[in-house]
Amino acid sequence: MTGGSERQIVARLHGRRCSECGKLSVADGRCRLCGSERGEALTLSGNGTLISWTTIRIAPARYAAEAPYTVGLVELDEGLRVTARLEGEPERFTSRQRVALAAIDPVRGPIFGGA
Amino acid sequence: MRDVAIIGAGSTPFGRMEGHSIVDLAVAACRDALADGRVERRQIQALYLGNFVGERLANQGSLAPLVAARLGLTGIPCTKVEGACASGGIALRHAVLGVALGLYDFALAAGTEKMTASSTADVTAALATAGDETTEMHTGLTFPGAFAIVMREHMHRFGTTREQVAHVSVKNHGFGVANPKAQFRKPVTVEEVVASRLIADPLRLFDCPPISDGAAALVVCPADRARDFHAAPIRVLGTGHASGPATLWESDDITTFPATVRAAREAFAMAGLSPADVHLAEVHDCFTIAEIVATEDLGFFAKGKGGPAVEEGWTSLGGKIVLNPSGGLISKGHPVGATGCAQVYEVVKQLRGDAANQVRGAEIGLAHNLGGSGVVSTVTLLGRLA
Repeated sequence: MTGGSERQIVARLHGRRCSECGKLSVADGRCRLCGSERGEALTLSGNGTLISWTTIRIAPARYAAEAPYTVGLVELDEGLRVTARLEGEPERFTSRQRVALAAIDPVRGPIFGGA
Repeated sequence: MRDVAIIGAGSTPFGRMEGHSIVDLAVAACRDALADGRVERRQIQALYLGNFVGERLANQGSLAPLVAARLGLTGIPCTKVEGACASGGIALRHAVLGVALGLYDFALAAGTEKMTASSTADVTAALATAGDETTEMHTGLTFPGAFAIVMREHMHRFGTTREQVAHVSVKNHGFGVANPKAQFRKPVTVEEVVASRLIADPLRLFDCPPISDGAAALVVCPADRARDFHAAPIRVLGTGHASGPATLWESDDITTFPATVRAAREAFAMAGLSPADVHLAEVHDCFTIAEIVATEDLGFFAKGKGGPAVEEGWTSLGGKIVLNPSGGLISKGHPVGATGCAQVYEVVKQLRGDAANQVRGAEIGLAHNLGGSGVVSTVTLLGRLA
């Protein structure tokens, strides 16, 4: 990552492994895939592979001022997927390239960039 | 379960219907369907009404009983059905079940939507409520965006080309020219599609449906009574209804929608038919790539072969299976809550032999309705009553 020093300390992606269905999710409350409250919290690496992405040019009203912006589907190394904002020039992204967590926005969620 | 037939089908034109409220549109389509089936209003025992964004864009709740009241049907049970862009298909499914189970003899299924009075940003935000706000849509993803992500992955995995996807738009705009109910009645070329304005890369303007107003309605009754009302009743051979992941991240493979696969399996099993038996289909082309995915999920073409199929003309008139002869959502228009009923309206016209782009010898037709990025789907198989 080539982000500024503030970025290096911000980004920690929290997840959980459900003890009922065994699945991982990006959440620290209930399992997003079965609703169980029983699970073990863990910190995810934040490293993954970019599956696909798009640059949003017609945005919903609340994000209209930010457009264009890029949203992608990332498969984390732990095996779970996450839909997230991407930073960097969209023309330079390629399918299955490595990406890493760059920041976590309190409203928009995790933001990934090229690794 | 009793066999069920469609004896009346009605639809407003799709487009900017100025001066017509969301209720007016539904009433017009219902009256059209009742007149088509020569059914008297007092015979109707239930109304199922599909609607997705009426509360948000038209400031109107209580929509089903309100429409019934404006039809002079106050008193009957009225149910509004919301399943994103599959609301209309689910409404029909429930009307059919009500008659099949013997609860009612005559039921109305309808769908209505009023969208053109709102700004594009407001419509985009309203449609985005079909996704999961907490785990996906908070990122700023939109539905064009979700399907753009699907399109890029389909291209990566199967070698589907930008031009192949554009052919869906060319075909459907071409069909729309002849459909008097269609919002867009102008042909487009591959060159125009790939040069049109980017909406969510790689999806462009001509890959998307317009923002539309419109309504459609269907009257169903037991098949053994259908001939008393229409000379050419259409039998509901099978129906399927299934749910799927609400988000992209929940899916290991975003190039397929399991809800469509499940709904199709149910409908085909009920009908005792296979995809090869279908002559024409109205499929949910909410974006060009969605038609390609649907043709694969419905079993018309092998996985990854939907792109070459449309490019080589297999889904045009004279092809193996004619897809969206009405013009589809892309050209006919997509008043989201009405679409599921409108698709069936178009298949009914085809099977009666009086459609705009008539498929010769059409005996078996299919309608496929999809909500969100695959969160819900319905599949309806229809045929002429023997």
